[in-house]
Amino acid sequence: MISAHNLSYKINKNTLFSGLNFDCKSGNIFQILGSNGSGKTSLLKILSGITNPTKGMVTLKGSIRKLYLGHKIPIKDYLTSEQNYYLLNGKDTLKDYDAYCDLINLNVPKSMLSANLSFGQKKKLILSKIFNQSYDILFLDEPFVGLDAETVMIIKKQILEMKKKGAGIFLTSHQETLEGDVLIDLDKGEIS
Amino acid sequence: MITELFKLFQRTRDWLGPILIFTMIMIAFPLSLNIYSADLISSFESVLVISLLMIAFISCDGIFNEDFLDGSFEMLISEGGSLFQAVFEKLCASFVLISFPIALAGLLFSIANGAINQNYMIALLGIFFVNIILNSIFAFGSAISLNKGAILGVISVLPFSMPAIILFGRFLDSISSNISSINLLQLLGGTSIITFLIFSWLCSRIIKLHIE
Repeated sequence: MISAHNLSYKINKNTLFSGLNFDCKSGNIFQILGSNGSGKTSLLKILSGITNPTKGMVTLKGSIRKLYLGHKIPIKDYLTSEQNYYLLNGKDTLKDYDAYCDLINLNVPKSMLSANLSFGQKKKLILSKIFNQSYDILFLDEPFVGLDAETVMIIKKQILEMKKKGAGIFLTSHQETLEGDVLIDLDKGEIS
Repeated sequence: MITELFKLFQRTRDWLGPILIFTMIMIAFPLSLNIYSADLISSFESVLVISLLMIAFISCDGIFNEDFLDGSFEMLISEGGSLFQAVFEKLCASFVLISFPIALAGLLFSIANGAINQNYMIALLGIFFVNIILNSIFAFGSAISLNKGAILGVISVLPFSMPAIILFGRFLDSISSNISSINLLQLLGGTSIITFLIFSWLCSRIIKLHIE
């Protein structure tokens, strides 16, 4: 689905990683490990096409639906939580706002302004994208930060569901994570 | 386009602010001068041009900041969406909610100050077109200075707006002198379309560079 060929990335002469080669096949979970500043987010951004690598290239096979969910939260504070939900997912969602709120324990009234939501509640709204749309590859940067234990379990279940359906998943996490099929350790520069 | 219109409409300060400032300038101008109405007419054009320039700057200041800072653009790129389309729609929304009302207010105040006596539709379109040109240019300035502050962007793109201002001045002259201004209106219209498309594309390229 997606291949990395000799990927290298430098920021201000500081090489974050170099010579990364791997292939992500259907249903693979890639877990990216590394200390702060080791280049986990940069690698995800390169793979998702947001940033260009300093050297090397990323090849996508065919037309692939992909999604990057990073540290930033694209929730508009001046809209209500329901408006943000439909802004993110479009009108034709698999789950309507109430059904999603029930599923993920998001106890937020429809009319509540998103400015009043907590970080975790905003994160839950963003993660609605993986429940409502099908993607071939997901790039999840610290997806469990700010979420309660119950929600973490629900998200993990959904990620595994997507893996079963053949989606490739790249994720970084400092917390307890899913068991990856492939580990990329950026500190050691190893792929196992 | 509808989504961008909705988002802009919800941010009342962003679209109502420029309209109110423009209205205040237009009202304050005759009140602040103790001169004969004839002098008012002759200097009104300059006030209108400067007001439009200022309002274009205000309405485009930070037009892309929100989506850039909250990661909306990153998510759009990752999903294979078009940044050009996103910029295009953002600018279109600002033309509908800010530029057109300002063109309408500009026309009304021009009539009230005696600067325009006929060809109202032509005058309205002319003011609207110059608004499109100025907004496109200042949006480019805003894109350039996404993480450096808006003033830098304004300084760097200000020279681009000079030909549009000169052209608009000629257009206003011809309108107030009752000379046929259709050719100048066509020139303004054509320029506004070209400027809008080129600067939308440039903005999308600059935003992509900022994200990288």
